[in-house]
Amino acid sequence: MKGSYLGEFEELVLLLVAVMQDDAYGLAIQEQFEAQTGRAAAIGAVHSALNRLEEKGFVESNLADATAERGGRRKRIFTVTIPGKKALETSKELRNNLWSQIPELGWKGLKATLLWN
Amino acid sequence: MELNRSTPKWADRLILWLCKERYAEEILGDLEEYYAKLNTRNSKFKTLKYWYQSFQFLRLYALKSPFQRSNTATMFKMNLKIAFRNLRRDKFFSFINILGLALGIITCLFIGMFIKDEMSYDSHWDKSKNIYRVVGHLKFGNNEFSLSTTPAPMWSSFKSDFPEIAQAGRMRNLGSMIFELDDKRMVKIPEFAFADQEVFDIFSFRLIAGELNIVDPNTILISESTALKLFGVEESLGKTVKFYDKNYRINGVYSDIPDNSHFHYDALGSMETWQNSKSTEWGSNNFRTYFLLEPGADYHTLESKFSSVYPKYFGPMLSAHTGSTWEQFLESGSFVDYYLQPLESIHLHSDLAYEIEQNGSFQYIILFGAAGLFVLIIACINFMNISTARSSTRAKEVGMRKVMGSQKQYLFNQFMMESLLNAFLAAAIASGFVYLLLPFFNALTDKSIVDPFFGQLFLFPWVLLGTVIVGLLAGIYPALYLSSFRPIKVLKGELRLGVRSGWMRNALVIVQFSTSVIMIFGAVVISSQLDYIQSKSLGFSKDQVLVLKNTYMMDDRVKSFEEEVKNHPTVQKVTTTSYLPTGGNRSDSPMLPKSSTGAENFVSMQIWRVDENYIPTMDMTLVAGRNFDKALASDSNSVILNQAAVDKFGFANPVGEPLKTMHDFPIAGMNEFKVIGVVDNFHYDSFKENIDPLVLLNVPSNGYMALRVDAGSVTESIGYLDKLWNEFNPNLPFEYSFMDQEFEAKYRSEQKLGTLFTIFSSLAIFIACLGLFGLAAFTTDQRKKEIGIRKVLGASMANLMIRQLSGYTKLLVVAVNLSLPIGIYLMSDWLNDFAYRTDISALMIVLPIMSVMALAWGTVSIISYRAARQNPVENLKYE
Repeated sequence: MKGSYLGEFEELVLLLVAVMQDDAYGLAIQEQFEAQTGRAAAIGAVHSALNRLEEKGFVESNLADATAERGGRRKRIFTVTIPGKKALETSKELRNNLWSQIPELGWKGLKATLLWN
Repeated sequence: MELNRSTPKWADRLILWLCKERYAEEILGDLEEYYAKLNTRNSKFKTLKYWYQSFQFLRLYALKSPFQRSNTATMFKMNLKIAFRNLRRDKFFSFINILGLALGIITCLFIGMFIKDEMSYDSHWDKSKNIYRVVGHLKFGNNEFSLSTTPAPMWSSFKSDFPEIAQAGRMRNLGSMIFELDDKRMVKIPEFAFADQEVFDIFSFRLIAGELNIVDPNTILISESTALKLFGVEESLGKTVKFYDKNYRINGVYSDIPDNSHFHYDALGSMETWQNSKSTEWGSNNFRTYFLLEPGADYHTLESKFSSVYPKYFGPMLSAHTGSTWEQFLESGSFVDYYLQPLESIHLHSDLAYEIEQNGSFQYIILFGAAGLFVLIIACINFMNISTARSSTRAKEVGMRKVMGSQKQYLFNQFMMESLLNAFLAAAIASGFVYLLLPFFNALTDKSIVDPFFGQLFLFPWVLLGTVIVGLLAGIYPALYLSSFRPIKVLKGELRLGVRSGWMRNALVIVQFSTSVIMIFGAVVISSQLDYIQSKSLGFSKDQVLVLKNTYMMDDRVKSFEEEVKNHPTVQKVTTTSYLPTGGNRSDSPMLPKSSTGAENFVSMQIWRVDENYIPTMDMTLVAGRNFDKALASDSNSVILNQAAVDKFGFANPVGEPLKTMHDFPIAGMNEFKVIGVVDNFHYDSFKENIDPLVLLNVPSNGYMALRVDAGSVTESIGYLDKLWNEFNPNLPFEYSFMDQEFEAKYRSEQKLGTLFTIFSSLAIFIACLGLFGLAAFTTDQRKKEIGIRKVLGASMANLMIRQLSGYTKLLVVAVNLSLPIGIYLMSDWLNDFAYRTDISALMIVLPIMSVMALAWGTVSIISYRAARQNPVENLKYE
């Protein structure tokens, strides 16, 4: 079994699943992702992340009803599981913890290394 | 699953064909919904987007397992397995093959990195394709110049004259500069320039803090690394720095200019501050002008229009300075011509006077590219030769396979697979070594490449492509050769194996050794030229001379500093000047005999300001007349010419000849001079150029202080100077260099070329010998019985070995004869770039021949000695 490590993209997708509740299926999540982050993501990338999350046990999925605009095909609706919620909380705590440790002086004399293409 | 009619049919089929069934429904559902929601009329665009999204689903998790499906996949797996087994079975030959290929690929990778980096210069600016630099080609009388600089007013005049020019801007670089900070700290800025605000419309400087604004006088922008040296990035904004007796406010911080740019300014001051920026003088070229052209404008067309405005601008300048008109100027054969250089071509193709930095050379790119290709070809030939020579061991296998129903195509595939496997293993090993050796490469080439494969250079796709090409190239001949055996013949044992392809192998060995000889010859010639430069009499003595920098910061105190320095016992002689044979200032201006009036007597001169200690300190030789004398007041207008200037003026008795300059130069009120002496020619420019006319003026300048010190007491002198310097200038860094080192630095690029060529040629000959070793080992093994019988019949050791060697010697003789004319032609071409050069001597020709011969003989001898030593009983006991 893979580790329970949560990648940045995975974390965002997992959060979106939690936000969207009953509407959380592949395409809808991808649309929300682009709308909320302003980053482009392929449907396939979101789908792949959802499957990884399912393998790790952070989400579970059920096939919902078919709709006409999908050519009579069914959606797969994802829901967050308890380990999923726990993973999100751990990740949030870790960040908060690290933020609180940055000394005031740590922000002085910063470099901005911009990339040239 | 049924397909929908509206969505692109083939994309859906692809998904159904490749993706796992349990995902197919939702994937197709999502895709169709996506397609329905796309609100664009353009159906082609819609289809394209659909395809894009479909492809994005082809990820590892969703794909069906590939190796369950087709016959091709099964064969692929099978071939791979067999290739591995063959690789393991003959460890010795596999080792030779892979080692040779890996060395070839390492060489190619490094050369590829070098070339790709050199070619990428200035391509990182957003509008780089539309940016051009204006450069000039001028002829006044007998003086011809190629300049990378332009007159001050050109940018704005040309911009209003030609609508194709969207934006124009100038930079005026002043080299290194010392900034004084409020807290009395002094910080050295390596590259400083004044710039027009318009420059930021042309070049996409990346802003980090503040704003890119130097419209107001006394404002400045600094680079990130400068900011960190001064106060810190955010903290620098609004602070002031002081230089040239003026305060400058820091308005912004920009990201460091990438290494692959033709300029690397650490700070840019507002052009408004520079007094000459408003000059309307068309006769002096000091500014670098850059044009941003309108998209689609052709720069050649624009260049051709320049000549129409020359009379308007240069006419008045001519009549003011020389009294002649534009027409007379042209009639006398003189001309003015400015043209454009595309920005991205500057680094490799521009070699003009006063370049900002030492540029690269396209010639070297070609030389290196050819060298890399040669080494790789030599490595590929090893594989071909060893594979075909060893065909006998595979012949029965081929025969059996054919009998069992294998087609030629399948066998061909199988052998290609072996070759590709070799190539990929070699490439993997090579890539590992490239990472290991990267620091050495960076040190050797002055580059700072971190991750060549996935970083900025992104060589990864090229490496993949290159490996496949190498695999195919090395494998195609053996594969064709081996797969064409007739089963009936090989199984009966009729085919004299390994012999049929003999002529081809010989030809390939000749190619290998010819290229090796050419490369070794190249390395020898380059290092002889470097030796020549090192040992040629320069006209001055560069040894035991210390050069102190930043002395101009002391202004008038420099004299008292010099007095103090002189008193120290280890210091023999001291001179203060801005003009040194190994570097420093250069100023070029015409002079003419006092009696002449027209422009035709102009002699373009280097005018150097020195003191009376200059000639003794530099150990130059006076060939006529005398040195400056401090005691003579009249010597302030005296000058000393170099021999080249005397020749150019055509003076029979130079001493006493009066000279003049066109306008007051170098100081106001001074334009008439008298020659009091002639100094022997000394090298102050590259060996690629002839020594040009030069005049020494008895006028102080204080850029550097040069000291001739006692041999053996250098450390002591430096310690003393450091202490003295700190007494005089508590806040200023003490910087010095040795003149001989500065001299060598001028030939760094040639030295690098020499080192690289030595490395390449050693690799080439090593790989070639590796191949020869394998080949000889194999053929000797084939002739074991023959050797055994000869020995039984009484052949001596020497006899046997000479027999073996003579075959290869013939090949070597052919290779040498083929390669030497090519090598001599190529290297004379390279040498012709130098005005002062060594000749190709017999030794330079004999050396590569002897070394290649010795190495090849040595390689073959090891094998044949072993074979000849063997007890014939061992070789003959079977059968």
